[in-house]
Amino acid sequence: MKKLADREDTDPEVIARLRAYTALDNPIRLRAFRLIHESPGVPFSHIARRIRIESGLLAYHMGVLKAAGVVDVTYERDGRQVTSYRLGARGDELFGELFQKRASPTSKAAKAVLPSVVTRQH
Amino acid sequence: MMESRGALSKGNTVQRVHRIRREAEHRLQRSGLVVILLGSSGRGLDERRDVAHVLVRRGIVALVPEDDFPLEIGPSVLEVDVLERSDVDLVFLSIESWGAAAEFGQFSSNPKIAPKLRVLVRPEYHPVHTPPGSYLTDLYLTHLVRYGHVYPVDGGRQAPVPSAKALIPMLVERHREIKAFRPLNITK
Repeated sequence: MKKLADREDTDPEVIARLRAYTALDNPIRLRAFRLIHESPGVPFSHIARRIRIESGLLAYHMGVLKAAGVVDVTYERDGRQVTSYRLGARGDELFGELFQKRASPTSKAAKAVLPSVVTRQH
Repeated sequence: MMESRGALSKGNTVQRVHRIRREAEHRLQRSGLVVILLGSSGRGLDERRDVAHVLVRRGIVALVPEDDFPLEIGPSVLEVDVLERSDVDLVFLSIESWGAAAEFGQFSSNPKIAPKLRVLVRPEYHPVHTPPGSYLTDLYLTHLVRYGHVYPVDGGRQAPVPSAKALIPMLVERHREIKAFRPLNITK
C-alpha cells in the first residue's frame, strides 16, 4: 500500500486541514481556540482559569493545538515560566471560516474538502 | 462567552468542525489521529522529533511533550490521569532509560491506557529476540501477549529471530499463566 505522502492525488492542503480539524474536533480545544482568538498572547494560566479544567489535561489539549499548527507559542522567563498563545496563520484562517462567515465554496480552504461533498450530493 | 459577530452557535460549530474533519478523512481515506511520542531525552528526543515531522506530513497530530507542552507543567503531570482522560489515539513509548521503563510499568498496568500503548524496545530487551531474563523483559512479554504491541527497534541492525517452535510455546505459556492467575486480563 502506498504511503499517504507518496500518493500522487494527495493534496497537501487536505492533509493540513485534516490535521487542523482533528485538533479542533474537541469542545475543550475549540473553547481554547476561541479564547486565544479573543485574547492574542494569552498565558496558559489564564486559559486554565477561564476553561476550568485541570492544568495537566489542559496542557495536553494546548499541546494538540500547537502540534497541529493551529496556534503559535511563545515562552518567557520573567521570574517564572510563562507560556503564551496566539493563533497562527492557519488558526486565523480556520477561525474566519468557522466563526466569522460560512465557508464559501469558492474559497481556497473550502475547495480542499468540499468537492467530495458536492460529488456525492449529485 | 460572547459569540463573535455572525458566528454559529456553539453546538453548530462543534458539529461543523466534526463534519469537516469527516469530509477530509473521507477524501483521504485516512482517519485523523492524535498520537503522543514519549521516551528519553538526548538522542531519543531528536529521534522523536524526526518521527513527529514524518507523521505531521501525513496529517497526523503528533505530540512531543518536551516541545509541545507549556513550560508551566512538569512532564510527569502528563502521566496516567491525562492519558486516561484525553482523546489521544496512540501512545508510543520508546524505552531507552529507566524513567521510560518506569512509565511503561505504569501504563501497562492501566487498562484504559494499555490498549493505546505501543512499546518500542531494543532487540536485546525484546522477549521475542532475547529470552526474558529480567523483570522488565518479562513484563514486555506479558504486555506482548495481552496487547500485542511490543516492537523491536534498532535502526536496521539485524536481530536474532526465534523459530516458531521456540516462539509459540513461549507465547502460549504466558497466555495460560495470565489466564490462570488474572483471567480478567485475557479477553478470550
